[in-house]
Amino acid sequence: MDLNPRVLIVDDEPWIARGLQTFLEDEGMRVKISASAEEAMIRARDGESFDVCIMDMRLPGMNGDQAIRVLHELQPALQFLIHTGSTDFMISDDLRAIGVGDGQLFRKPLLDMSRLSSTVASLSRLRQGESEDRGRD
Amino acid sequence: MRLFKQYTSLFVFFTLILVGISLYGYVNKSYERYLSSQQALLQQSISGTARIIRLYLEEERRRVRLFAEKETPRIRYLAQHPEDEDRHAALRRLVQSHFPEYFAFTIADAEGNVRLDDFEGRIGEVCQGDIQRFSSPGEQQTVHIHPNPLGYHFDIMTGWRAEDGSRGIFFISFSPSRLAKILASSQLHDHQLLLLSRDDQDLIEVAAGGSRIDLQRAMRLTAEESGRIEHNVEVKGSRWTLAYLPDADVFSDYKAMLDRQAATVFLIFAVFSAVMYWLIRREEEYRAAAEQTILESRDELETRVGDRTRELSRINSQLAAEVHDRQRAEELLRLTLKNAPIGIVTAGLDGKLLSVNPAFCATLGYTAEELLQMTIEEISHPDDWEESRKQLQGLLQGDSQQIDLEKRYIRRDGTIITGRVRVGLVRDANGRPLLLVGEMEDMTARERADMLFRLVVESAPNAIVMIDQKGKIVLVNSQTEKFFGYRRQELLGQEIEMLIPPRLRQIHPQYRRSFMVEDRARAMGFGRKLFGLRKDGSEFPIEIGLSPIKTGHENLVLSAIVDISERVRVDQELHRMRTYLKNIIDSMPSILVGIDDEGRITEWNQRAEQDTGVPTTKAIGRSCIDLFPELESQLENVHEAIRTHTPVHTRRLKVEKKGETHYSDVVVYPLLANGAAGAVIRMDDITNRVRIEQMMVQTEKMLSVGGLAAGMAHEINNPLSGVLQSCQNIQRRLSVDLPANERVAESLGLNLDMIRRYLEKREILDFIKAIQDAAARASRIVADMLAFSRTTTTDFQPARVEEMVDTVVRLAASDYDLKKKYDFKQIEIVREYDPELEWITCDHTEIEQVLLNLVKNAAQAMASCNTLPPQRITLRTRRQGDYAQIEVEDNGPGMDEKTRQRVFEPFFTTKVVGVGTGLGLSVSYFIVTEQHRGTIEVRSVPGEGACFILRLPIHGREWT
Repeated sequence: MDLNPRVLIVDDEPWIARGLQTFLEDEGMRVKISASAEEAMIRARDGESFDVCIMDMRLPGMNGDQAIRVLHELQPALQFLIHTGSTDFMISDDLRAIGVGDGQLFRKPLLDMSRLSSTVASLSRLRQGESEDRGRD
Repeated sequence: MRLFKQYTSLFVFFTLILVGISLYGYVNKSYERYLSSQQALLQQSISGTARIIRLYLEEERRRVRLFAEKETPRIRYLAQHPEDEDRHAALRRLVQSHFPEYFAFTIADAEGNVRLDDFEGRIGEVCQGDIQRFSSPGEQQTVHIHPNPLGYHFDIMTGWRAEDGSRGIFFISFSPSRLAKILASSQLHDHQLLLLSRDDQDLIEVAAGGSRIDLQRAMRLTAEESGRIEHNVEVKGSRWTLAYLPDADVFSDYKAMLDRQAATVFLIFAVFSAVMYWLIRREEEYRAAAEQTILESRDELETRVGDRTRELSRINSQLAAEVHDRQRAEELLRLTLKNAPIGIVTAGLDGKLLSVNPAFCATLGYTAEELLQMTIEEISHPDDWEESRKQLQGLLQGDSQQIDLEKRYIRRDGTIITGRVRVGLVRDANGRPLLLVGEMEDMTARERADMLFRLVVESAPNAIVMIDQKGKIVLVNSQTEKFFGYRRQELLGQEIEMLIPPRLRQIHPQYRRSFMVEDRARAMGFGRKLFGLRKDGSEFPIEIGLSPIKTGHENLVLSAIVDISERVRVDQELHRMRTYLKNIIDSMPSILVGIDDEGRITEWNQRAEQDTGVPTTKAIGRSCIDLFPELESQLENVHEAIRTHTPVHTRRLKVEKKGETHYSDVVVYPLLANGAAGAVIRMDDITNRVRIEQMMVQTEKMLSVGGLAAGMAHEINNPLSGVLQSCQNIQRRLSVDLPANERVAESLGLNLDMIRRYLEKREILDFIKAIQDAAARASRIVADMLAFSRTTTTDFQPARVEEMVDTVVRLAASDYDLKKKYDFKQIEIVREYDPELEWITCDHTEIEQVLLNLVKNAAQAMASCNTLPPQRITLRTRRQGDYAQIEVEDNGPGMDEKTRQRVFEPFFTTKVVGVGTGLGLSVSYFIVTEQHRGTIEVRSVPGEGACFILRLPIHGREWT
């Protein structure tokens, strides 16, 4: 089992995505970037597998909220982390239903990315645990 | 007085002697005083002048010596070569230029032989002698004037000694013109100042006005003149005496004048005395003569009067006895008839009038002569005549002895009078009727008086009650019946006390008696309230005037009683109305001030009292401007209002009161009652309303900021994200902690430590940190601004006020931002909690945020201005009705009024750039006023700290 978390960042701001990617990679994670929800869905459909998806909310085309639900359909074990610049964003009941809690909501700008990275790490452990459970099933 | 008369001449004589002696003494004394002052003056003047001359001589001597020393070579040369004319002339010019009074000069050798003289070789013997004296040792050099063919002069000498050992004498002769000038200028009026030779005391050397040369008089003093000289002084260094020759006549003239004055005074006095003496003597002579005459005539008169008196009294007594007997009866009768107050008349049996007395004439208006031509019938009223005639007939027939009837008469002027007449019949010795005698009394006047009296009493508007000495009612009028409800018959003869309420009955007789004694008209009761008692037992207020009345044999008291029920009722109504109006005015929330057209206060309500602290009693009559200086600008409006008859409004009049700005709406209403112009000024303090309006403006501003922030927050946060994340990545990738960094560096042949050191040296890491801080601040501003847009997310829960405040203090003490700036532990925290205030319903995190903000502000303010210890923050809680008040007070620098007004404005900050976002207080303001419907304000005096006051509804936000 590969323990290095696989992370997908969905963000249309290249430098925010790049910044996060760099930071997480320095933590030893494998990080991919998608500039839109649609691109992310293509990756998921193409069978690329991720432990954690960091999702921006305001995206060109499909917004983050919808994207999370679609990706969850495609990869139910995928864990989500919301990284948004809008201040009035509230986690909708739909998202809570698929396990997105307040602890997974990060508002831009992040003064310190280490909290986000540790959340990613713990989420990925959760995901891998789930996979193992599923594997045993 | 008699003494004076006897010795008048002696008295006058002595007075004259006394006056003479005192005048003589006065003259002598004045003269002596004049002399001594004159002499002192002369003495002073002469010694001063002598000193001036001495100084002059010394100065010239000094100058001659200096000149000789300086010019020794020339002098020596000329002493050896006196024939050298050129050099001689040159030296003369030199001497001339140095000495304006130069007369000549001479050079001699040591033995005193003249080598060269400037006197054209004609040097005099005196000069020669001087030279000899000068050259012989021990001889003192003195100066004197001496003649020479060329003129008078005096010499001043000095020795000279050349370098080759040769020596001699050099002297300069001076003309005495300068001396003459000195004398002339020092001379006193009328006295001549003379310089006399000491060798020859009477020889005048120099006189004022010139030397001897042009002396107009003899060169010598005469013996008389020498005698006159009283003052002289030796002039040292010369052979002169300075002397004053006083004017021969000046003293004697003065003496003569004094004598003349004294003589004149004495003469006038003597003449006056003589005249007086003569007048007094003449007067005395006249009087003596008059007295003598009077004495003589009195004696004579007395004798004559005595004789005459005796004679007269004798005649008189004789006469009196005679007349007495003869006339007495007749006279008596005549007088009786004449003076009887009733008419007396006699008539014949035919009715013809035979005699009438003056009273009868006066009653009927005829003269006696006219009446004696008339009959009884003619003066009787036709209607009554028949009855009179019958009665007279009866009398004549002997049916009655006397007639007594009332009948009417017609007066001469046609008016009718009623007379009461009694007629008797006079019979002769034989019993035959002779004539009728009647007396007639005019009843008209009395009747009339009676009737008028009744009318007056009855028609008086007042009740009139008369009582006698015992207090019994003897008279009442119809008004009394009306007032008291009794009938006349029920009152007459009763005691007056029946009309007085029982509670006053006891004391009344006493008052009554004392009034009888006092005996003068006055009002009853002296201002006490009086009441009358009606028959039905009810009382009514009255006023009573009392007048004592004296008839021949008894004392009565007349009381006039006025029913004042109506007046009392009107008074009460008026009073009630006034109180009612006053209440209305007083209960107005506005200040109401009534003023007259000159601005003096006529009305002053309670609100005005409260506002100014001046009670109504003190305010009335004072100038309105004294008590409300701010109304000065309103006087114009008062006139305007009175003139145009319309109210004048002034909105938002700004008034500074005790350092605070207040706003008032002022309305001036014109008052035009009874022609007296005036106005009522209404003032409403609208400060609170103005403040609320200002706060609403403030809130509006913030809401717009909030709306704006919500829209752009996302757009700003994204780029900030990029900046902040990039910074973190840069920092991490430069750190030695990340193994990958070392690897990459090695692969490139770089030493990571060295790179690190390089970066540190060039402060690259600090710059990165700066970028990070700036971005972090921008993000905080966005977050703060967003606070304005959140209106519905607040979470209201009951919270303990004390706990919140304590939490804030704890947070502040550990606040990272604060720690950086100063040591919070240095600040003394004073807690003044109101035990009455426990719970309030609020969003406690937000209120804590507000309080933390205030505490931080206070700490920063004190730190920024280096407030001297002890720095203090006072936290005060207080319950005020349904509001909780929380105060945060510091003793920092405070703020000025301008800052105070803007302190809640968004982006207004006084802090150093970077310390505050400029939103802290506006967020606080927003939270308190918008979220909690409370208020927040700040009070501050520059230099004395600031106090922020929060007021929150205890039961939470009241949704409106």
